[in-house]
Amino acid sequence: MSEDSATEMITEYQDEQIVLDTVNKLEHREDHSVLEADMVKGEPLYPHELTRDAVLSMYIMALFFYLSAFVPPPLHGAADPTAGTAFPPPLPDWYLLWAFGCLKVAWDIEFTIFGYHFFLMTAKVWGTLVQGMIVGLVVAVPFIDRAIGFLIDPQYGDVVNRGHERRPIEDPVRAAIGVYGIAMVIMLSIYSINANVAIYYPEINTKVLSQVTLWGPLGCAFITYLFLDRRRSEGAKPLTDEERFALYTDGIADRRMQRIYEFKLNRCYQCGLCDDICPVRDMEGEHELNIIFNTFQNEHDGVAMWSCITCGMCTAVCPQNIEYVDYVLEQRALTTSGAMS
Amino acid sequence: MKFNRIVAAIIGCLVLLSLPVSAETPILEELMRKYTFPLIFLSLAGAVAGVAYLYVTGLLPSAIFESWKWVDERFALHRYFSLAKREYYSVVYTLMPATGRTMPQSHTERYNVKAVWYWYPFYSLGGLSFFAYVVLTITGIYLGFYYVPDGQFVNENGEPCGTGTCTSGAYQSMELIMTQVSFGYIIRAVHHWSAHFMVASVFLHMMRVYFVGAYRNPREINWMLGSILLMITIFFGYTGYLLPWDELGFAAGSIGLEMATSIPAMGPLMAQIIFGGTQLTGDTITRMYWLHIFVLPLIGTILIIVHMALVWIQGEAEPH
Repeated sequence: MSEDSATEMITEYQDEQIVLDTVNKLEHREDHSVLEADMVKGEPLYPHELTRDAVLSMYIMALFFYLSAFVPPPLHGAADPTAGTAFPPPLPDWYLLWAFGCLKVAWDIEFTIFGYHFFLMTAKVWGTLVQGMIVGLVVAVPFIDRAIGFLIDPQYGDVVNRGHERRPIEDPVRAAIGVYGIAMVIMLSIYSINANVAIYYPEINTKVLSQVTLWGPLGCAFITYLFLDRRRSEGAKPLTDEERFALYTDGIADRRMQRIYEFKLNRCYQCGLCDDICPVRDMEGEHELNIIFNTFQNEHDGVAMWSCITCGMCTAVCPQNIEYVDYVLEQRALTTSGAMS
Repeated sequence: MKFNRIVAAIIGCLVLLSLPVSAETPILEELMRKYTFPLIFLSLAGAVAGVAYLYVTGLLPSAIFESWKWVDERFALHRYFSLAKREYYSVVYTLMPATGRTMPQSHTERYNVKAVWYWYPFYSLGGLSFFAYVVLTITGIYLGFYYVPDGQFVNENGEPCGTGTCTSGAYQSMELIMTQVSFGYIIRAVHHWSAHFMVASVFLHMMRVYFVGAYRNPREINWMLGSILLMITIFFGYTGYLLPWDELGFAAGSIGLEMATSIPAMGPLMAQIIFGGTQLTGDTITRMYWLHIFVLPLIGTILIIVHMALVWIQGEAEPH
């Protein structure tokens, strides 16, 4: 197959996809305001995240200079291969302790079957393999996640897990596994400095530490699961549509930022692009029919709210990506259902 | 007339400046030695004054345009500029098309969350680790001017170390950086702390991604890239930890050598590749240096660019 035909195929496919997307969007136009849509797009990196990062990086730079000025970086004596090993032995950096702990916690794998003695691998090899296994597990997390979903619910488990980020409270099992991993890494790190711990706390010997390393993470995971599952059953669950309507009207009543639309409307820095692009304003309105301004001022005299043709041009040009149309549709729904608006 | 006055003023200034110069040294050299920083300041001030003059007279836009034209007719930059612009808008309008953009339900809606701001720093951790990476690059370039990757064990006289106290070229250059080099101490400290911060923030970034479930479709590739980047960050830390070639680095090196040799079937080979042998020698430092300043930065920078491009294309997974 030549290169040109492949390019053509790709181009045709893309065109088809664009047409399909457009049809899909037009067909589901009504769903957008109140109900959750199927496709979940991410929050844009620019400008939202980049702005936050820029602000926080100033603090971090200040933190670097503060630490540099008051906590000097260590420079010990020169390396000496002829000198004996010191006690307590010098330790690797904190982020390598878990790997060191894997080496220390491992044991020789040997067993006897029918009088024959098998010596499979030494502790060193086993410890190194364990590190490799941990790294492999971490890399494969997205697929393990779906497999777990499938095991829990063979019919819909992996479908439910597809493409939806959730809070830990929605997935107590996943959160418990994560807590197990973190607790295990911390315990391995503590286990790796057992000689240094024993100097200050002689009662915490290696036996105690190995028991805690074995059972501690399991206990943490179990407690996490219990806690999150209890929270879930207590009612921290997705709201129904009616509850969300009630939430919205209450939110309007005491003026708290509870709906994402309000939250997003507050991002507006009044550049006026939406006002410039608005076709209704272009055709009909002068200063008295400024839909967007009236809505922001909460002055719904009926004209502004109902003359919007929900074309979405304001959202298209909005640098802050505010979903104005959704807001208008929501207002209409509330008005017709008798809620205060 | 005006021009003559300016020239006269400049000559007068030079004469005044040259008054304290002795007759033995060449005047120009002496002047340059004495007034290096004032001259740098003056030239900077002149540049600022020139731009201000162009701005006041309204010539600045045409000057910028002329210089852009000068570069453009040599390198045809308009092609790349328009390409970049088109790509930017195509990405923007693909992600946020004008009609029917879907509105994801946020956690604020779903759970009636009252306060959301304290989640933001967790979403910034990836960007902050990139910031630390940039700081590490800048400070690392400065440290690289003075650091000597010579790990041979020698005694004070520079002979191979048999008995007595050992030192090495690498350690001596570290002492130089810490005591003699101007700004050496603070630059090394910033390098040290931003390295620790970067490792910590990468760990925390991974935890955030895990607990929010952001690694799911469509972001699996980015998760795997990120876990490779975590490994690279740890290797960065490890190789940099060995470079001062002090007691701590030596101990960490012997642990790492043990780990490398205990890999089944290819242990000695790995030890040879990473540590330059099954013993810690001067070669170890050369290898660590090359890994730390070339191999890991090369791979890491490419992967970071891909990682961030994917975030740019796919967007962030729903901040609270």
